[in-house]
Amino acid sequence: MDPLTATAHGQAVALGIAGAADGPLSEQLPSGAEFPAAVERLASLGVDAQAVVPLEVGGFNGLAAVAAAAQLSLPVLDADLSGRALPWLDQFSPAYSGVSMLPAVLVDAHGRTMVVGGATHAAAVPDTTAEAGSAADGRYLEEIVRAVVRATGGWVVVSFSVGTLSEVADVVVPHVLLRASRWGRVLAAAQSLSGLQPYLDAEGGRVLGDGHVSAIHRPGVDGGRTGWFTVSASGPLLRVDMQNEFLAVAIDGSMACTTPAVIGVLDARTFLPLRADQIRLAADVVVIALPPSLPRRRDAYVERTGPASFGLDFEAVLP
Amino acid sequence: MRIGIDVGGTHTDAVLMDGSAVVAVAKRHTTADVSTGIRGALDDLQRQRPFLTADVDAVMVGTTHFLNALVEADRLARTAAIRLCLPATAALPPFTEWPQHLRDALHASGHLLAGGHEFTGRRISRLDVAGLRRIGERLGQAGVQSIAVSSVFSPVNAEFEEEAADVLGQVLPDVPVSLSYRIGRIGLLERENATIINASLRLLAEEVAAALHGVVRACGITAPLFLSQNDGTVMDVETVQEYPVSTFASGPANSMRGAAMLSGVRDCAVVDFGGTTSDVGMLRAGFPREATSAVEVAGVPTNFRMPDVISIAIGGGSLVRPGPPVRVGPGSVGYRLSRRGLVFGGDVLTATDVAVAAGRADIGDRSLVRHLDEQLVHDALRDMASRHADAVNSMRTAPGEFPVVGVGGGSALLPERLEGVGPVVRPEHYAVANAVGAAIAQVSGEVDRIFTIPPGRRRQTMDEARQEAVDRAVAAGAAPSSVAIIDEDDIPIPYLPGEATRIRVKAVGDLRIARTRAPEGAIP
Amino acid sequence: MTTLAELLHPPFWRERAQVLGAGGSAAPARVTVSRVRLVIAGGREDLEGGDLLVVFGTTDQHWWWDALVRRVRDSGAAGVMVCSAHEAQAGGSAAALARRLGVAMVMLEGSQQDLLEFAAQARVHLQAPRLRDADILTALQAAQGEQRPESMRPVLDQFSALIGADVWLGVENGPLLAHTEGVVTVPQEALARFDPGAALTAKDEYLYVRQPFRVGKQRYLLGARLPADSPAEAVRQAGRVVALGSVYAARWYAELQLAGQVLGSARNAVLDQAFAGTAPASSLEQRAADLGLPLTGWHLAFFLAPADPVPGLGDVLEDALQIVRATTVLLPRDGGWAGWVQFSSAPSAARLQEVVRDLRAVYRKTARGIEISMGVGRAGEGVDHLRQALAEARDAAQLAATKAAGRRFVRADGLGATRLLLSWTESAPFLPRAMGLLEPLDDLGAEYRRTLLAYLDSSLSTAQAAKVLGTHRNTVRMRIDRIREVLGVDLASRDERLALHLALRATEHRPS
Repeated sequence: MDPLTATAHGQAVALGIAGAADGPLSEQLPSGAEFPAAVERLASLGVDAQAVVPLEVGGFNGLAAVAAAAQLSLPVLDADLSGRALPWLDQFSPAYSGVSMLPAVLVDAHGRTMVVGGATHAAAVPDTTAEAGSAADGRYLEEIVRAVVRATGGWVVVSFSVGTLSEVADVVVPHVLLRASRWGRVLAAAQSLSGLQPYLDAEGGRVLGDGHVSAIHRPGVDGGRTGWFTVSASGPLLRVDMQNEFLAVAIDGSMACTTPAVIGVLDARTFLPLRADQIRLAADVVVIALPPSLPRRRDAYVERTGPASFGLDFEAVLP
Repeated sequence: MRIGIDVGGTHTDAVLMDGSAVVAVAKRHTTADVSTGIRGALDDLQRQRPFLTADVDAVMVGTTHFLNALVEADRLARTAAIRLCLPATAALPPFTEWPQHLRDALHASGHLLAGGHEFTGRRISRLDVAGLRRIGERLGQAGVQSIAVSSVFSPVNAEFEEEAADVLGQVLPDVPVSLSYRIGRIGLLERENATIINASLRLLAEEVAAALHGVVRACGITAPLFLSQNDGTVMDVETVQEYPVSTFASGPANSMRGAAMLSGVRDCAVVDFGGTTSDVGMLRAGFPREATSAVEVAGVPTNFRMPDVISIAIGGGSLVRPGPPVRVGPGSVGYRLSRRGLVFGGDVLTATDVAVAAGRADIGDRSLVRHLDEQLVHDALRDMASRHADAVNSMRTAPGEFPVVGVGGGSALLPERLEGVGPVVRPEHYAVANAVGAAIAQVSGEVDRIFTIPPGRRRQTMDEARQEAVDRAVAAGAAPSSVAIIDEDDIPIPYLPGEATRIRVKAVGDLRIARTRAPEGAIP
Repeated sequence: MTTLAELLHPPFWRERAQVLGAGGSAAPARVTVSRVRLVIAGGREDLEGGDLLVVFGTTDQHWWWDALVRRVRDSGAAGVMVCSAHEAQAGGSAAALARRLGVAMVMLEGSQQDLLEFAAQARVHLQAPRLRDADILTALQAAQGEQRPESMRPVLDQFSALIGADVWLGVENGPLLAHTEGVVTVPQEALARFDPGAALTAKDEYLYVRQPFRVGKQRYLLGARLPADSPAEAVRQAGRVVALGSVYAARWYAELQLAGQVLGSARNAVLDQAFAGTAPASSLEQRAADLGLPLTGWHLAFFLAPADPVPGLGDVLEDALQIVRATTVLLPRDGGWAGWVQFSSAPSAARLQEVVRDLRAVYRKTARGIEISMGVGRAGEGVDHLRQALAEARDAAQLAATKAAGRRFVRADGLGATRLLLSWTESAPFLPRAMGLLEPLDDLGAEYRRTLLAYLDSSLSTAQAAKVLGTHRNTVRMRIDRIREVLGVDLASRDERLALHLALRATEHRPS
């Protein structure tokens, strides 16, 4: 369903899983009942779910929401709340679009359902530092989700209403699902870098560089939240800063591209994208950048998802 | 001295190595019973370079037996999978994504039971012992021959898998049980799949081990017997009976390591031109480049770490279709080449016949292919060359020329250089690179699981993991003084508190040679 | 024209410096250095051609190092110098980038102190041509002599002789470290931070000419004291002497701190002598002051005990101690790090509280990354008290180590004061008054007394009191509310709390 022309009754429900995709989610697999349970619980809170929107198109969550929509026999919006993958819920679009993420329903790996907030008071949690009305709700939910993830199996389903379908265009980042699937097909079929070039050109993206991973410093090691790796070949030296996602690329020390642009690190042979934790020393990679998908509130988006939101002290650079 | 043996689909190769020198080489056709081929190859070695059987320190065998059994869905045990997980994971039960013919071959049955742990090692729920007994009894009645047990986060805490093995051992004392935590790493489905594959190969593994043991002993060799593993290291034959899965795809690693040793080239592409297929891989600094994506084996997703190899369906036994256009493969006469090929008096035009006609090889009776049309021979060779060039090119990650090392019996079919790639190097003993790779193998120990690291204890935890890997290598037969950590990585798990870190350490060492010389040196 | 090679020429540096990216235009002999600049990691100063950037500290903005290398190249700056203690940060992608871009990156084997020492020496080297024009250079060199003098005193004497006035050296807003014969004290206002250049006529009718300088985080002042009616020329002369003298003094202090251990062991030796009372007090105090170890005046001792040895902890602690808004001393001692906060006069209670708060912040900051406990002793004056207070602080740190992570901070002040006051409560006149004070509680029952005592003992923590009493914290809170009502006391008031506490202690073992 195109979010810009959606006129149906009812609300769009955001669905996704918060937690660690590589570890816990690949071991303690979902039972499959989590998403329906979440939507059912939301219904009991008065949410009339008529469409599903992924929390984030990136990583596991993009597909998870599509699967959930199929399970629930609901349409899925060609949109998400992040335009990419983001680590913190208060970076997601409702947090700066005046839409509260509360009440939210969480379902953990044991199938236990939790409702966060929103029972009696419609008012947002007060927070003097918040500019938009619901940023504080986002922060509040983020902290609770984080605690739940730690206390339960390492991941938790998160769901909440993002408002009526007729007004959803003001909240979401549109057209990211089809864009992602288009790129998925392009990358799966890619045989060479030159074969990729026309697609990059068409969207204003570019190849930042290629070569082998010559050094790597994992995020989280030695307490640093941000890690990095370098890519070197005969040409310029690339340095990619990363946390769970790739955040910035410097070419020979000059910042060339930063979040919220989409930074992709591809296996140089198969052109399949690699996750930050899959980067290994001596691996051959290609680093590409694509312009970000933008919501209507683009300034707020760039601010919330730019380098500063990840604790990096420089301005956003978009391709 | 060591003996390396490679049992391939068409040929059984053997080498006798003294240190890093190849002193004798033998090549026989693979026989249906395997043993006869090995016996013949060992006799050939003895004839070429008489040796005292007591001087043999170790025999290393690489075999595609297990992989072939899986690919052909043949000789597999009736296998059940039990997963300890509930209430989690029910959406994707065991055997999800398995090809139907394999499920049928295994008479697959999957069972979910309460159990499992969280990443912290905390229990999800108690093990359902009564339920497990009931399942065990049902499986016994159904004639199940082998059982795979997996438990959520068993690499972090294996108590439930161990307990399940005890319970099943009481109910079904004769049915072997494979435990996932000993086989795979984090990633439940992939680990479970590997465990099921392992379970399905257990009966065959016992047969193969007995056969290998028998033939080697029959030759008077009392040295310990090892099998090559997927990563190019070896495992002793007793252990293989419990973990056949870890040896089932040793071919690529062996041929690439063998190619590196024989050619002395450390950065190159390697083409292993066999009887039915040709495998292309890349060597960097003497080590095979590993695949970054998950590996599918016979259509089953696993998370083995294997060399990044692509196979093309061209081998010495490939059928040549006269066209036009002339095409080599994908059909093949396989190990029947020695009966069906023209040069051996058969009636099928194969790639080998083309090579002999072109003067690139001297096998069989050359006069039997003299009648072949020159253009046909030329076109067939060009087809093979261009398809190899395409394959090597698709593996390349950097522009420029690089050498291609050709190994395997069929590598005579490769041209002097591959267009758009570089020169083709064919080292001495190229035909037996696999066996050489097996003979020079080391032993390894690996740790890969999630550790909870208390603040300030990162270094200590890493040291513990390293020690564990070293201990495992030594337990697997490495000489303690030679063990070194060759690969390690610690990846903090995103989104979780900083303490949860996945640590992977691999230690490798030289085989410890226990000199158990036979009292009398028997020269046959 | 001075080159990097010249600056690195002395064997001490040559052996310790590794120039990455050396070759081509980055070869040390080809790199021209016109200025040595100290840069704090993460900073964004504009660079100029010829700048050699000596980088202190680390930053969580890891990319900054790469950006710096790039800026060095783009600006034509001479290069970057870092110490091996920070190699983990600077030696990664930035080093690779330096190699690629042909930027000279000097990795100096050692700590930040070595960097400082290098910078000080390099600056002297770079200024040398201009200094030679100055008529005071000779004196400076004479003072310098062949070897580094053991104390700043003879150097100050040289300066003094040059201008015919007294010269002194002190810590900014802190104690006086050294001075020539005629100076006994320097007024606080002369030791305060100020804009360089202006002379100050202080309350004591003297004219003070001063030059501030920094070594590490420590700020010092070198000053001359002239008669109030000194001619303008004499004031100018004094100004030049202190300005150039400060370069020397900075170098002297940097050398002093050359290696943390050397300084640490020297400080420890002096401290041991001071505590043992074996050396003559006056010479000892001067030596201690030279080592940046003020023994006189008021102090608040503390002790930091890491659970396991942590390499480079000294630097971490020095860094964390910057939180404290006062002069601090830190030295390795007794398997941990001992130190104290220095006060020039008796600190007020409010000031003490502020400093203790700062120390607690130091603990919190450090404990985030390191398993460590911290004890704080009582404030006091003089060497003897310092010894006692350090021991007390260490005991407190040991006590703290038994607590839960993140709460390993204990102030011995409470223990010590209680001990003192308890002895007083034994005295005859106190008891009747105490009993009178607590009389209203008698109606409530004995558990109320115990509750109040436990509550006060645990510094007003209901949770801890509940643990001691084996009851629920809500019960404790309820009882305390009732006690407040019955006694009509304000437990938020320190004085009322103390009175109650003492009264409870005094009557504890007596029938009520």
